[in-house]
Amino acid sequence: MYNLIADILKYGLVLVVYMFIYSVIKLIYLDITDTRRMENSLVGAIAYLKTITIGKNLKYKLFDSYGIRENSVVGSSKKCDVYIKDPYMSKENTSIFLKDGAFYIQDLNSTNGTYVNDKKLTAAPKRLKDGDKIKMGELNFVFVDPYEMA
Amino acid sequence: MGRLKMRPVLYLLLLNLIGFLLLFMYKEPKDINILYAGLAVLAINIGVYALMRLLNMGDVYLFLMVSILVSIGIIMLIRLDTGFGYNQVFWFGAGVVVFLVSYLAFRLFKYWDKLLLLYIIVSFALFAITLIFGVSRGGSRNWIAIGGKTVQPSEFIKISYVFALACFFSAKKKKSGPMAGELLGIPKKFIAANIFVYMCLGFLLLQKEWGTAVVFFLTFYAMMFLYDAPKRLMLINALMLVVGLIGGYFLTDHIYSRVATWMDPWADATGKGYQITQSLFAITSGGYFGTGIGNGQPHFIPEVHSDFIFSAICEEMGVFTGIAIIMIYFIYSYRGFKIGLKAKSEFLKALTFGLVLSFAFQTFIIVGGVIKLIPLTGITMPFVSYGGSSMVSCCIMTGILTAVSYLERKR
Repeated sequence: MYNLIADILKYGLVLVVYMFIYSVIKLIYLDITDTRRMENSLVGAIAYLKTITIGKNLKYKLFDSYGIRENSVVGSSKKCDVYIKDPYMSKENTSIFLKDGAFYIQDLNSTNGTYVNDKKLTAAPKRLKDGDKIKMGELNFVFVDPYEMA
Repeated sequence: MGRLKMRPVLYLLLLNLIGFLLLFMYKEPKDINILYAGLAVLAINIGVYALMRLLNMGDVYLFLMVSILVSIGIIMLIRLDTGFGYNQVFWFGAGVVVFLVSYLAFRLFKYWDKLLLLYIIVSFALFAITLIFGVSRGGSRNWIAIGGKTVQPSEFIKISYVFALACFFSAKKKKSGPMAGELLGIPKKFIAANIFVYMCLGFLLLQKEWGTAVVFFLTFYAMMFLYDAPKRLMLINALMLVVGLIGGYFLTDHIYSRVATWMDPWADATGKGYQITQSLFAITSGGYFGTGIGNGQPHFIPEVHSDFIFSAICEEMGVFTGIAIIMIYFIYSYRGFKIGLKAKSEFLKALTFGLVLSFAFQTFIIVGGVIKLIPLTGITMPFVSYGGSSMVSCCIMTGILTAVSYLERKR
């Protein structure tokens, strides 16, 4: 009887060890105190966009993380709170804002659109969760909300 | 990210839950102490992790790696021998106290780079004590007995040795004094470091501790490489290594038999090759997922609780767990190097690199030896093997690395 239980639970043990490693690597990856190349916008930010586009030959400067405040506009115009010189991004591409303690994302009628978890946004704002994948222009980001406790 | 921060703790909890409940069911007669041991391990791990998060004590990932390694190690040790397991729980408790003390000491005291002479004296004093009062165990004369317990001083010499090396390498160019200038085109600080290293190696070879000697030498060589030592000196040292290994091979029976059993363990599978062949049988019989805790026969391997615990883990928890353990050592070393790269002073950089290098080489040598990748030399597997000295010295090291990561975050 015992041998059977041990035989079944061994798969559980291996799985748990690998899940542990995965969760730690994810924590290390999202740890923003670690990022060397950071933008000034991170000071006082309450959430972050973590860049995950890698291996592309970009002709403009791209930071590891961008800070998000209560109301931030992402776009290729210098007036934007998060300013990225991506040629595929509209001047005012996307807005990310805080409402009733939760973050929402809204596409600002951009040419190439905004995608959350590979789904194109409509004109209506969409609730953002910690770890959501966001695509704007030709770039991919992960949304990191350090205060989300759920 | 609050939810994410707790996720490793959840998996740690699950691992300990499955492991210790299985052990409780496995051991006859039923021993409630196994569950208490599991609770103690879990409480120490989660308590320290929470403390480090709350007080923002620096890099937490190093300790997370330590906690999963120790958990796997203790589960395996209790399965092999309950007494060893309980001792190891006690040593882990002591290790955590030492971890916090060395963390605080390193964080508060700022003049560690001025104490070169102290490190050299401590290293040689420990070597001398081992030579005079040492007792033989397993072919190496590297243990001293204190009040019924045995201590392995070379584990602690490793730390003072790395401190001394860090002092040598991080020394600034001086205009005057005994350490200024060059001799034969080689800066004097490298020459001084060389003399110190070869004296240490001499002591280690007198005690027939070849494994530790290799760790010491490789750490030194890698640090010379990092600190851009003259090519001539690197070449001389490489020659010395080759001469030492060839000399050891032909002059001492110790190395000769190790290399011979490595080349062909089957020639004498019941004698000198017994340990390594049993280890290979154990790893193979486990397969990818292992036999399950308690279903294997790891007791056939001599010294299974200390040097060969990796084979026992591979047999009962599977080759996948073995690979996972190697990955965990990788992450530990990666975090260590990252801390070293960002460290503020030259001394802290050298110290971090030295400690992480010695840790990485030690792991490589024992895991490589057990799976017959390189000739076997008996050293402990950090955090997993049974042994108080090894556990305490590795905890000191982790404490120092964590303190360095705290010091660099302060701006």
